Amino acid sequence: MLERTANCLAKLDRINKTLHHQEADRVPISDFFWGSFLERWRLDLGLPADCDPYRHYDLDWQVTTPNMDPHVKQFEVLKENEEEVVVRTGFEAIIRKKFADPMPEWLSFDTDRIEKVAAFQFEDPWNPARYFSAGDNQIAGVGDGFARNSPPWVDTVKTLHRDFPVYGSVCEANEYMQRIIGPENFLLWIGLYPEEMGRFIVRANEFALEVLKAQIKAADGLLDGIVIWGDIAYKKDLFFSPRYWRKWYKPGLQALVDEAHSHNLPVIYHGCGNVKRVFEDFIGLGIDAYNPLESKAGLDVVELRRQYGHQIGFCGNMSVITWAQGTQDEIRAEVLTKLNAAKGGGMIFQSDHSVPSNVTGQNYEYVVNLVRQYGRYPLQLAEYDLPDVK
Amino acid sequence: MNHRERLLTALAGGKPDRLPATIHGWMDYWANKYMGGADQFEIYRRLDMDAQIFFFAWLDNPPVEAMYFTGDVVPGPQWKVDCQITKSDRVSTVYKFTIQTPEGFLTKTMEKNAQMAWVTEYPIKQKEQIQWIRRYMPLPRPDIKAINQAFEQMSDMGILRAGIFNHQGGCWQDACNYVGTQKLIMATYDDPAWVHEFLDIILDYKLRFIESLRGARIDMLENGGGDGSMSVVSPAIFSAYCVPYDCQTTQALHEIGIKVVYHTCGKMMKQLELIPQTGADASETLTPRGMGGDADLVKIRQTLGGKLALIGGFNQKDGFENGTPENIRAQIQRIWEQVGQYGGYIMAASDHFFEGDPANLKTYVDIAKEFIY
Repeated sequence: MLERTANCLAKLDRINKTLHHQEADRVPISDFFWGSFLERWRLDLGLPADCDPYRHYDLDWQVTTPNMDPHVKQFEVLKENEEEVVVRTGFEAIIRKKFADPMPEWLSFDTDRIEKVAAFQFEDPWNPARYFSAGDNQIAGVGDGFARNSPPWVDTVKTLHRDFPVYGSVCEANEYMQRIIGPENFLLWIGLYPEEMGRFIVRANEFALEVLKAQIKAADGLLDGIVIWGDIAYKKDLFFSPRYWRKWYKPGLQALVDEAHSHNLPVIYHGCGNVKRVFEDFIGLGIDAYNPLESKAGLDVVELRRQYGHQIGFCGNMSVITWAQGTQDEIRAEVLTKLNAAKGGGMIFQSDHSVPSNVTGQNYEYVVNLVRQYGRYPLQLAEYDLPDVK
Repeated sequence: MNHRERLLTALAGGKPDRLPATIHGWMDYWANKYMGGADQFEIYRRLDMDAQIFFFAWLDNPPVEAMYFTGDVVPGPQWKVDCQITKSDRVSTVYKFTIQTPEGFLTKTMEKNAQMAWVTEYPIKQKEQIQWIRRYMPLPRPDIKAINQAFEQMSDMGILRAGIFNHQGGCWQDACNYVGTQKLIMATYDDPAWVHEFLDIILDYKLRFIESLRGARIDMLENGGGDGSMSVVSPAIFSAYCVPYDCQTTQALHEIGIKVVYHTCGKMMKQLELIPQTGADASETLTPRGMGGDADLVKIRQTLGGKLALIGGFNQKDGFENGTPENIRAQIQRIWEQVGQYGGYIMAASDHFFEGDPANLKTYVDIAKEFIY
C-alpha cells in the first residue's frame, strides 16, 4: 500500500466523519473548477501557471474518472485548426470544441434512430485499457477543456493518493443516454418508446456496474469513495416523470450504491438540477451525500437539512452566482447561512456545481478563507446562526 | 355583441360587452378523441365559444396529406419532391422527403403520430443550400376563393386566422425549421452574416406570400413562433434576428389590411419591451409557469397594455384537462383582475392542448360570460 501523508489522513478522517454525520475538526471543503476559472484565478492572484487550487488551498478531496466511454478508441479527428476541433468519440458522437468557448457543441450522434438503440453495443467494461492505459476518452477529454491522450487512470489515482482522499467515479445510465443519443432524441424517445428506452437504460446501468467493479479492482484499495455521475434533472424538475425514473433508473442506481458500499466506499451522487421530487428516493438508496444541490435550481441546503435532518449528507449548494456577482458582504451571508447545514457534520462545502470563470480569484479565495475561519467545529456563525437547524 | 364584434373590439384595444373567451385552435387529436371528429366550426358552435377559426387553402399541394404544409415539400418546376414512408408502426409514421433541385438534393425527414408531426432531419445541411431555396423553392398559390368561402361560413362566429407562410410566422422560426434550432443559434455566433443572409431569403419569400394574399378576407395572421421565445433564445438574439425581419412582414400585412398577432409560446418576460418593435397588433400566448412559460399578467399588462392587444394566459392543463368548475372560475377571476378588466384582452388557452374535457371547456365559456364590462 502506498504511504499517505499525515495531512492526507487527517483530511480523510474529516471527510469520513462528515459523511457519518459527525463533527470533525472543521467542515471539509473542495470543488470542481472550470479550466477557464483556473486561468483567471492564477492571473487574478499572480500565481504560477502550474498552480493547482487543490494543493494551493489544501482542499479536502478529489475525484478521478477512468475511461468510461462505451467504446475504447482514440478520437477520430474530423476537423482541426487553431480555433476548434471536431472529433468522433467513444460514445460515437461528433463533438465540436471551440477552444475559446467554455462548453463543446454536440453536433450529431450515430445513434440517431430508435432502431439503432437496440443495436448499440457497450464494449468490455473490464478492458484494462480503461484503467491502466493512456488514451482518449470523452468524459475526461471533451468538456470545458480539450485533452488528448489522458494519462492512465490508475497513475492519476496513485499520484493523488499520497496527499488527497481520492474518489473514483462512474456514470450512471442518464449520462450515457445524453452522450450516446443526445438530449433531444432521448427526451422524444422516452415518450414515444418508453419500453425500448427503458431496456437501454438498464443495459447502460449494467455496463456502469461492471465499470465500477473493474475500477475498484484496478485501484486495488487506493480509492476512498465513489462519485456517481447521473444528471437527471434541469432547473425546474426531472427530465422525466418520477415514475419512469423509479422503474428504469433506480434499480440500476441501487446496484451501484450497493456495490460501492460492499467495498466500504462512501457514495457521493452528482445530479444537477431540481431533484426535489425524488430526493427521498436518494435517501432510501443509501447515498451518503448529494452533490451539487444547485441553488440555481431552487435547492437550499438549509431547507433540506430542516426537512430531512441527518438522513443524508450534502455536498455543494453554495451559489456561484453569488460568488460571481455578489458583494463580499453578500458572499459572507451566503456562506455563513448555509454553513448552518453543517452542524452535526454531514456537509462538504462546495459550490452548487463547479466554479466558473466569472468568479474572480479574489472572491474564491475569500470564500475559502471564510470556510476556514467559520467552518471550525463547534460552528460559530454569529448573526447567521439558525438555532433551529441542527 | 356577437362573437366577432367582441373579438374585434378587444383586438382594437377596447372593452367589449364581456370577457372574450376562446382557445388557440383545435388539434385534430383532441377533436377526434373528444368531439367525434367534428370540424372547428361545429366545435365552436357547440360550445358557443368566441371563435378563432384557423383556416387556409391552397391551389398547389404537397405529395403527402396530413402533414404540416410547408413550402419545401410542395413541388415546383425546379423543385421535385419525392416522399417515401420509411417506417409505420403503432408509435408513428416516418416520412422521408427527397427534394431534387438543379444543383443537388435536399433530404428531410418528418415523423408523425396521432398527436402531431415533427422534423427529425432538417433539409439545410450545408450553408450554400440556402441559395437553392432562394433560387428554386416554389411559392404555392393561396386559394383565395376557398379562404373567402370559409370567411363567409364563419360569419359572426369570430375571426379568421392563419399563419404567415411557411412553417410558422417568424423568419427566425422558419430558419430554425430548415436548419435546426440548436445549429442556427450556434451559427449566430459563428457566422452571423450567413444567418442574416438566410433570414433575408426567408423574408423575401414571406413578403411574396403576403402579396399573394390580396383579396383574402383574413382578419389576422400569426407572426413569430416559439423558437423566438425566451425559452429558446436570448433577448439579444431576438432583438438582432427576429425583430428586424418580423417587423417587415407585419408592415406588409398591415398594408393589405390584415392584423398581426405575435406568437411567443414559451417564456416571454425578458422580451416584453421588444415585442412592440415587431409592430404587431396583439401578443400571445402569455403562457403561465405551469405550461412552460413565465407570464406575469400584471407586468405584461403594464408593459404592453395600450400598445398591443393581449391574447392567452389561461392554463389549459389546469383548466381543461384537470379542471373543476371551482378552479376554472378561480383562474378566470384571477385573469380578470390582473388583465381582463382593463380591456384589450382576449382570454385564451396559452397554446394548443391534446387533452381536455369538453364539459370543462363549456364551463370555461359559461363562466367567462359572467365577467361583464
